[in-house]
Amino acid sequence: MIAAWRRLDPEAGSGEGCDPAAGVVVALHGETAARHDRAVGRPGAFARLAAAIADLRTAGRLPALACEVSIRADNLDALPRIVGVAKRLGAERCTFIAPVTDAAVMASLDATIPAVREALARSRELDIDGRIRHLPACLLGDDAEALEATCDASDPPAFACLFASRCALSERCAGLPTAYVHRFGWERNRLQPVLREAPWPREDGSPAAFAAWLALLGPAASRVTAVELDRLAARYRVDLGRGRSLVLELSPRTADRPALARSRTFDIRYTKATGLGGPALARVVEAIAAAIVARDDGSLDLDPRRVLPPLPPA
Amino acid sequence: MPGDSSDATALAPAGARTLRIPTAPADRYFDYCLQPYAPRCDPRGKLRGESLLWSSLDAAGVPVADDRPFRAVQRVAGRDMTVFGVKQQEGGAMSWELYFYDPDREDPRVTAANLRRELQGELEIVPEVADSIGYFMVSFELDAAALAARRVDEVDVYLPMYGFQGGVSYKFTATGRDLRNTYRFHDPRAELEAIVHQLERSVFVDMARTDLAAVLLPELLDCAKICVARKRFADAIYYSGLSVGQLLWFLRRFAYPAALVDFVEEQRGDLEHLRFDVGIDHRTGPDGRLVVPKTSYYSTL
Repeated sequence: MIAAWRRLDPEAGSGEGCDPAAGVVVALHGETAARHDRAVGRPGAFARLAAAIADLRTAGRLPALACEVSIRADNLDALPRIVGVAKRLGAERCTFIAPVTDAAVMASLDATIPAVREALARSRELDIDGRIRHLPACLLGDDAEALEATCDASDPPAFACLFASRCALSERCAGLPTAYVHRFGWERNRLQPVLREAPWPREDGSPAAFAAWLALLGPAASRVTAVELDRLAARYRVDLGRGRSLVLELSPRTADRPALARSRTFDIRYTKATGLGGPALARVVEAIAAAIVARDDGSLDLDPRRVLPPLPPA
Repeated sequence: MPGDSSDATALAPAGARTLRIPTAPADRYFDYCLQPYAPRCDPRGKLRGESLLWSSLDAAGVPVADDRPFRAVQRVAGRDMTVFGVKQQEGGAMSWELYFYDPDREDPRVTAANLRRELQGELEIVPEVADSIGYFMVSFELDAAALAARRVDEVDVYLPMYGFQGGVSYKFTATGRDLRNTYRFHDPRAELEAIVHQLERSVFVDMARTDLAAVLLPELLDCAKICVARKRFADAIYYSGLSVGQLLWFLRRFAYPAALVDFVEEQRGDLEHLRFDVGIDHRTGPDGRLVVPKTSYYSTL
């Protein structure tokens, strides 16, 4: 088992000085030297790659070799033969990587999926660990196991899928590259989402973003799971554990509206108490209210006009 | 004290416009329907959404003196309580629309009649809209000429749908009122079929010659809400709750002025806590190609 991998770029040197225990990853773009050289754009690139690998092996610095193979419209038919080349170079792993941004080299899924699956089958025949990156899991059948999970952290997203929120495969499958969607469409009738049972997680934002409002609550702030500030109220969803929760509401202080307590600036109320009642509920909400009363110095309020001075004369 | 930064409240000096307006602890965060949201990350030390309004006015060459109507609106409606939209027509002309939501009539100052009354002297709103109309929102648009003239000749009034989030808008002028647009909002995670159904049935976009991906953009699909609108001369789609990266992509994709795009790019880190909303009008042109007659983006003032 190789604990670490390092990338070898024969055009930039052969990697002396790197951890000799680390496996080596190389990019392999064609089943012939000519096709590889053409894809790389450098004559002799394949020969330099093979020589660098041979040098490392001779020096005892090649504990394992992995090949990364870009999937391109012009090499689909060659993918199984590229696996053969990888075997000859001594690779134990071969990862087939679909393009993410370069729409010009993309092929349709109709053409890509069978070619990649054939290459995976060839990898199995040659006892190479075949893997896939950036293809939709739902079209890979049994080979979905070979799909490496894609975590799309780019902004805007580099991947999208019409079915992301309802597909059980979405945790590991990012969908289609947006560049692919622009060239070939959403593939609405081709994708085969697997109905998910768990709801799609929502990104609701963290209550920590309302730091000043949280601080009002004192120790109970650690129990707040959501804060909502609207026109007239600040609402805190408070999770007290063991199924007990409530919503605490602050609204502008009045003299006479019913309230649990009044601080310098706010009327304090609670709603939606769950799993709590009687004296236990009273203890909890009174403790939170007392914390707010003690901390409310008037620096926060819900009057949207307070901080705006009048316009000077025109 | 919240908002006591001089940047946050002061008028820009003559000839210069303050574009970077810092956040304050009491800031509230709303989408373009004035629905509250939690910031994407800690907003301390970052910028308010209104910075995008000032940067757009700057990029469009609007004189600083013409900021005054916006500042007057902010003082009447309250900080964070006005949605603004920055709009760009196909030829590059820009305008700014201000939206006032208060469906539950929580604030008596944010009604059509009161805005008209209180803005008098700063902005003459010609059409009268009775507050007895059951609208949930009113809006008006200002271009450079209207800003210079301090005059609004048209007000849009939005009536709610029953049973789902949506609305229908009417244009009010001094002499009459016309039906304009219909809007329907969807959760893109749960109601994708409804979104696609509407996009694929259009009297303005020839979907036989237009790929769905041209009107349902993959870069923007990851959003909180999608609204599909029917307009008099186009259909439109609105994406809500976008990241600053998605906003930047939108601004570049639809060729907003370089100064405006550069501002967002330079301030990207200080805008990352916000969620943005954008709108895109579509129709098919005479040559069969998809035309985008207007786009817009939104935040709060």
